[in-house]
Amino acid sequence: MNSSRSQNPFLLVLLTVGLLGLLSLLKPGLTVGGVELRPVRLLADILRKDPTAVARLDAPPPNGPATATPADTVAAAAPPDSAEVAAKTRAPSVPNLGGLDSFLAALRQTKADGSPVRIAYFGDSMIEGDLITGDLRNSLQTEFGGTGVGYVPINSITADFRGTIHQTFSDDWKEYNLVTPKLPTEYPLGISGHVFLPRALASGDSTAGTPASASWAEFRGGGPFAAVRRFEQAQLFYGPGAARDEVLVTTNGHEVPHALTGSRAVNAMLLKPGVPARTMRLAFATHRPRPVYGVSFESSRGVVLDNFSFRGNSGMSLTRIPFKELAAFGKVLDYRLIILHYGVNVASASNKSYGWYARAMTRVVDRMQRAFPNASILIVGMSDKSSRIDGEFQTDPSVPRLLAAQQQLAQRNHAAFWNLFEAMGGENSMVSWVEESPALANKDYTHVNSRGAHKIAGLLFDFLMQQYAHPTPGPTTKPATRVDSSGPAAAQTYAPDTASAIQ
Amino acid sequence: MDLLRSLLDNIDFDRLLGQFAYSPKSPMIFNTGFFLLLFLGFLGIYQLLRGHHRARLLYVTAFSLFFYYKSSGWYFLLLVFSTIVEYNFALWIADSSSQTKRKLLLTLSLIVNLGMLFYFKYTNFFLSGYQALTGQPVPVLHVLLPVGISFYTFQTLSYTLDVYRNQIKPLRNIWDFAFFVSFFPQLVAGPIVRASDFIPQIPKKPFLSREDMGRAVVLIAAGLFKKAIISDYISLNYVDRIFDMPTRYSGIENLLGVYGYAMQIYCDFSGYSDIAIGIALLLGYKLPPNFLSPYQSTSITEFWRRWHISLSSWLRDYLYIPLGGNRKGVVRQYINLFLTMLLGGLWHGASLTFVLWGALHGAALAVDKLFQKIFKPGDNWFIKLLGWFITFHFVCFCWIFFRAGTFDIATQVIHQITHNLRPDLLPQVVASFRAVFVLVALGYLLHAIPDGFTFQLEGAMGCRSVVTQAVVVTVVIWLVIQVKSAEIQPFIYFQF
Repeated sequence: MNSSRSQNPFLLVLLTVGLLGLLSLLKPGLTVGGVELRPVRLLADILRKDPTAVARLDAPPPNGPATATPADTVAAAAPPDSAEVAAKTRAPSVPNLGGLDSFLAALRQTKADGSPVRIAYFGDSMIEGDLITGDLRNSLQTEFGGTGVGYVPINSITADFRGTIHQTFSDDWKEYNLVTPKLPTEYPLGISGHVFLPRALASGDSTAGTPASASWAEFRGGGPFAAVRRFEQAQLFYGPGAARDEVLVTTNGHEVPHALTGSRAVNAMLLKPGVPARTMRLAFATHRPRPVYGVSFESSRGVVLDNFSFRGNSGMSLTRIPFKELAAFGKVLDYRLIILHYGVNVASASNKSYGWYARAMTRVVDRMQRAFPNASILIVGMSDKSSRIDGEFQTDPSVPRLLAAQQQLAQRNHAAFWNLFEAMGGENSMVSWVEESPALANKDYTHVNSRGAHKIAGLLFDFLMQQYAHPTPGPTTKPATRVDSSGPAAAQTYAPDTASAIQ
Repeated sequence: MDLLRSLLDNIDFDRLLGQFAYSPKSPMIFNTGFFLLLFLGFLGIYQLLRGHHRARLLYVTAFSLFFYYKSSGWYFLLLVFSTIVEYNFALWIADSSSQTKRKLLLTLSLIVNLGMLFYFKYTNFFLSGYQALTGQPVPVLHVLLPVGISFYTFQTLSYTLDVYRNQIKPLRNIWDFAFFVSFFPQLVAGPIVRASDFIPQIPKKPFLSREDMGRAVVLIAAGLFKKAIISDYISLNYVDRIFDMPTRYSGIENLLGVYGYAMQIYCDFSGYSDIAIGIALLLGYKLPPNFLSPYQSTSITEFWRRWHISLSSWLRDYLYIPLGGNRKGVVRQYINLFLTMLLGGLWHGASLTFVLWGALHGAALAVDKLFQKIFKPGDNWFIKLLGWFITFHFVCFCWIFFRAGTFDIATQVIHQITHNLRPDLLPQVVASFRAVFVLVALGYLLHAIPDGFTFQLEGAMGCRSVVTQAVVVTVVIWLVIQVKSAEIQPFIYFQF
């Protein structure tokens, strides 16, 4: 070879293209060491699209409050399994008014005379840090009155960054929550899925007053919404304990000790500063371990909306809150609407059907209905979530399947249903939310950011107001005909709730 | 034959034509299948035109303009405009004997060049700054940033300035100049090629030696690996998520996000530069190296001799030295360093976070100079290791501002690292994002390879047959395809 001759780069590229062409002839679906090899498609951008290659999505269920799915559009070929049949003939244990009726009636009352209406919004990381709920609360409080951020657990993963309230706390609290592997029966989880124990004072500690070393939690109002910047009144929720326990409450520079006299499973103590306060500090002098749950910042009139976020939750683990405890909260908190917003921790391409999920969540809804008999239940269908399929981001095939299960869940339990997926724009809306400028969602193609959350809150508020203006008739009892062939075994293979590292 | 016919039958000509049209969502980048095929066609004709100097230059220029049009649409006229204007300014400056006139012409050239850059890149930045200061509402202009404008304006600026300083003779043929300005390998993302490096190569017949060919293969293969495998994968599957919402992640995840981003930006930027240099080499043109294992630096001064060299040397020659450099006393030198880096920061993007990034580097360069002067640290391994550790972490710290986009996000990242570190989560985090951290680790490992080894590899590659070379490139492209179409990592939020 003559090294003084110029090399031919064309040959290099031609050979490369040729080799890639050969690789593209490889049979699709080849695996090496269990990993499926992706096909080489050099000409993918210029060849005709194979219509069969485009992933077919199941038709997502329609929007609206527990609209019964027309039987003819979803009639499944497979025969219903017996568990399904049994489930659909069972009536809810506590019949409520159905759909959103109970809530809408309460809301009309609020509009008329300012009487309070309380909403619980349960969810996963989608609502962490008051995302969605912060904006929704603000819209509702603007429209119907009311102040305060609602229930705040003593300690939170979002304490530093929740836009609507700032929390600090001593590091000596003991916490149990929905993902604690083994829960002590004597300290049941509260409605938020947490229970906190302040450090019990040693016998040597001073008996009078609250020593400086007591466990404490401090809350400071702030953020973009005027209605939550000051604390008009607050309620402290705590469990039973020693009779001489007390809490030292500091607002506006005034320290007031209060005896923790309640001995029921859940006790509420009303705290009302003389003038609305910016900060509130609670220091606990407890002599035996005593469950403390959280503080609710609210007003005696208008809307209170509680954010109960728990990351990684599929919703199913809410059954870890003992029913007795939930019912005890029902005695002190008169909810008129309970929103259940889950799904991103459940939807996964490997799951072909979600009958097991609908069944597991039926238990959750049933308990909510019994614990809070005046509350309407609203199931929020999951948001769009993308997967990368053959190099392209598109709606994960599990999303419409899970939505169908969520709608079925609502139907069977006489709950309302709001299809967030459709409200976002339906198929592949997540891709456009990520790509929009400024972006509405994060690059995990699952979570929305604060702009996206603001948009969702607006959509949900509009939906609620539309129902408020023109309530659709209550849900029919017509059973859903969509069935899933998988049994409850599927639930055991996917149990994200108990994992210590969870999605 | 049948295969070919079925292939032809399957080609969707609308889609094929669509590939050639301007599409802001799919700009022309090297690591795409379309570019590979286009480049093959381009090279076929290029080889045929090897002996025809003028035709070859025109052909490459036309291709370059198309390349730019594909990413920026009608903005390619800006490139044409810039070419015509600077070509003439340089000639007028060179042909003028009056110093005043030369100065005037240079000033006009600077106004046109920087004015263009300023208008497209910084108008809204300064308008919103004005609004923030005065409280008066200012309309926001809807200007799209022309791709690569920061690179080619600096390139033409260096040409005019060199002509003004009599360091080079101006080109007397506008087609030669157009070839230099628009040369597609480095057009949109650098390196910023100096006229003095490139112009002498224009009249020569391109020659590709065995060594050059080996070097090109290594550069392209390594560049693709860095850009399309390491950088793209770790950004999509980890780093972007952290910087989207730092508060959702523990401090350890944020810290790994910062280390990951340091690797991502290096791989992204240097990888793309390497491909550009490799492609230029295949065409017979030598571009200067742009990155020399910057994270091996043991001082911040050294870092800037190894990081984005074409920019840092540009800033040195056309900003720092004209400001007075080190000729006007120590204090002025430090101020000059600081100012140079401040503007260098702004060059990266119209945002205060970039300004802070530049300011931090500027201040660090001044402190480093002062430190070296006072303490004259020795050269033993411990000092070097300590210097490396401090330099690397300082650079990473600055990257937080570079990547964050807003001060809020940057503060959150720092807060999580300082207040919610939770190092106990490390095993879980690494186990959950194994592929990401394997790639990050691989990136740092490759980075630690001494330059001498790379040269040996390039030499060895040059001795191989073209078939072997093609196999190497094919394997890397095949890996890229595997990674590109792989499913993304599911999101994971840890309890902390």
